Amino acid sequence: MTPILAAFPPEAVKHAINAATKPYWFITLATIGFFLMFILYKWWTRPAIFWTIFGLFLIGYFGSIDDANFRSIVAKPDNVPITMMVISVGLCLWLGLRRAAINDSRVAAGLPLSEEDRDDKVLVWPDLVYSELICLVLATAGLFLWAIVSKAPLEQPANPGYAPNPAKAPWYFLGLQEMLVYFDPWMAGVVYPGLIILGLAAMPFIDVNPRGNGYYTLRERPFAIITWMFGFLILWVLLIFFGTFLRGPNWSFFGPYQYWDPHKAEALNNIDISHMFWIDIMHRARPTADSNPIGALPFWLVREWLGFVIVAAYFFLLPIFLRFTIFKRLYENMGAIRYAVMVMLLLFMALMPIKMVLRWLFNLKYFIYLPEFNANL
Amino acid sequence: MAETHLEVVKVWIAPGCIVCDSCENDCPEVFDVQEETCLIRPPAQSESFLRPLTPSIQIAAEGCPVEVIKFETKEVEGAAPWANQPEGQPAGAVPAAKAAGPSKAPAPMQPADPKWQALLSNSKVSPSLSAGLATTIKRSAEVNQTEEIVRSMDMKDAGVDWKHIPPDQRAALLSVAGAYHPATPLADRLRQHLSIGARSTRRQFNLALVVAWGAMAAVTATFGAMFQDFFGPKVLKEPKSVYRVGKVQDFSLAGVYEQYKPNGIWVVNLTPDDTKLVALSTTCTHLGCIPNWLEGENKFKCPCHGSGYHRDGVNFEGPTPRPLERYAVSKDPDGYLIVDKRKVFRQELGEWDSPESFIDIA
Repeated sequence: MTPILAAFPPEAVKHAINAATKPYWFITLATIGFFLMFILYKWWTRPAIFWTIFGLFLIGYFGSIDDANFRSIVAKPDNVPITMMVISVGLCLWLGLRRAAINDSRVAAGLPLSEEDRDDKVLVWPDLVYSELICLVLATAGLFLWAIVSKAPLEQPANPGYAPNPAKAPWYFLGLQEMLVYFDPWMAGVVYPGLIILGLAAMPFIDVNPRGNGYYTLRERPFAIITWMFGFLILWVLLIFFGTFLRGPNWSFFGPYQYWDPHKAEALNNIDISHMFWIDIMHRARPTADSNPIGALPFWLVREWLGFVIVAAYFFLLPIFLRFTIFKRLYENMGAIRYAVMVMLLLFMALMPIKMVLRWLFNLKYFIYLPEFNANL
Repeated sequence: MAETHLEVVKVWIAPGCIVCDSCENDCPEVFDVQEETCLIRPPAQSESFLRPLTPSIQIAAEGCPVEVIKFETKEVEGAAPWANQPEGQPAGAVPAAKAAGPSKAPAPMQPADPKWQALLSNSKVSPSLSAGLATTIKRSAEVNQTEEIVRSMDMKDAGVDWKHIPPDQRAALLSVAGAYHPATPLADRLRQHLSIGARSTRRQFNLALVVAWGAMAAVTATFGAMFQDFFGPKVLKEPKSVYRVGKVQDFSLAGVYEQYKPNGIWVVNLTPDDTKLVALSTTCTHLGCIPNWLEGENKFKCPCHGSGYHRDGVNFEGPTPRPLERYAVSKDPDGYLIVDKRKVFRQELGEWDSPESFIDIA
């Protein structure tokens, strides 16, 4: 191997990427990038610029296979779909925003939508059937090739006394597994997936605005599109990326070019809100059944009162506050019931990154910690 | 003397048609035999359309085996324009009548205009809305007739000149004038078919009922059985739950003893923090993975979501909401440590003070 290749990517770049993928930095940068992507969407979707960025990304991504630690992640047969996901999400994102940019520019110039100028009708036979046949053949050939080239990993027989380290879910569930790190199993395993499905099903009933139907646009639907894309890109795709590239042994965080050291020491003494209030502020032990400062109330309510207040304010006062401020027009357009459903789903969605950041910054574990009832938030 | 003849001015079908196609063969301009009955084509509602077709309508009415074709006639002065024509070709021979008839003859039927036909069959129709129309044009007499009507209309005011408009617009005009009947949609054909099928006998109906419900019951029963089987245990052997894990003095040194991890037990000597010997469950209280004991870090660490526990089982990092569970331990008369997995002690419920949950090795 030539020295030039051996040095790719340069050590400084590796260090910079490792540093930037520390979770709080990474999610901050990703969120900034996410909003820049929408603010500058007319600029970066221009073909020359996009293909330059995309080409550089591909060179960096596949060039990094030279790095042993990166290769151990990317070359793993389990993770081949991740590479496909990263590339296809990028391409689809570009395609959608590119066409939105074209349409928005046309509308601003008083021209009809690009969809209106196109005659999309084609014949089923031969146009559609031929394309389907070609896709079918190519996909089958691709699957055969994939199955031959990369073998399915075969591990030891199942053993109830042993779990691989790290034990990772199938790639498409890594986002859920990442959620489980921050929430009680009931929340992240049942409530959140249920809310995701319910929320997606409720979407056509919540959002009855016909603009954007059948054509690409961003300017006509900025709130709806950006909210949806935040949920999809940051809270799903990015979390899958987290789980694949950044989670190593003992579920610790590692940079993509870092060695997966199973003995990496990380201070993760997570504490609850009640711990912060009673021990750090009041300098006393948390109330128990035996030492309850307000005997009239159950001890767990006294212990967790601050958490209850915060959660209640978040879920009940914040919607009312939003209704009179930034969501004023939205409320008038949607009506009370639609607004209530929408804002609840939105707040649940927002709780996800909020809690992640609080965990990374303050080691916050739970707002409300009720092991007596197996209920924590 | 003034010669008179009869011309048909109205035609209809009385109930009882047996859909034999006879009338459509005799006079396709007027009769449209469908699956269940015969219809009068829409252009044939007009008197002027019917008059020149009088002979063929009469032939059709005579030929009807059940005699359900009824028509009304009107006496008209002059010789019948079709009187001298040979039998069998009444409709095509009208032009001569134009001059002969004293009453203004209606627009007569003509064979298809070859130019128009050539235009339609050769022209590359633009792939727009009317593309589908051009492919459905059949040069039926009815289309020709409609074309005549459309041609004779004065549409100059609307800016339409029949001679110079593109073929797709011609097709559209013909369509508006009612020249085409849309093909029966598949759903309607299916519905018709089914409604014919429903007219089966009681015996056939009962048989179908039994077969259909039987098949459904069989499928449901099969799936039910599979469902039931899925929830049943595949292994009937009850795993052992009480273990004799070794002499108590074997665990006299402080530390975590991992020999019994395959049985789901960590035996932990808590010295110097405490003078207890306890048995910890190896199941993570977060979601049931099996954590690893990390000697160097002095902690249990779960590989699934990063939950961490101190040596005594108390959780301190990661998402796990509560400490590892402890099993009941006792010392048998031979000095062996007995771990009973049937009895579980949970710290958050204050059960770790129970004397059953540890062995005092002070």
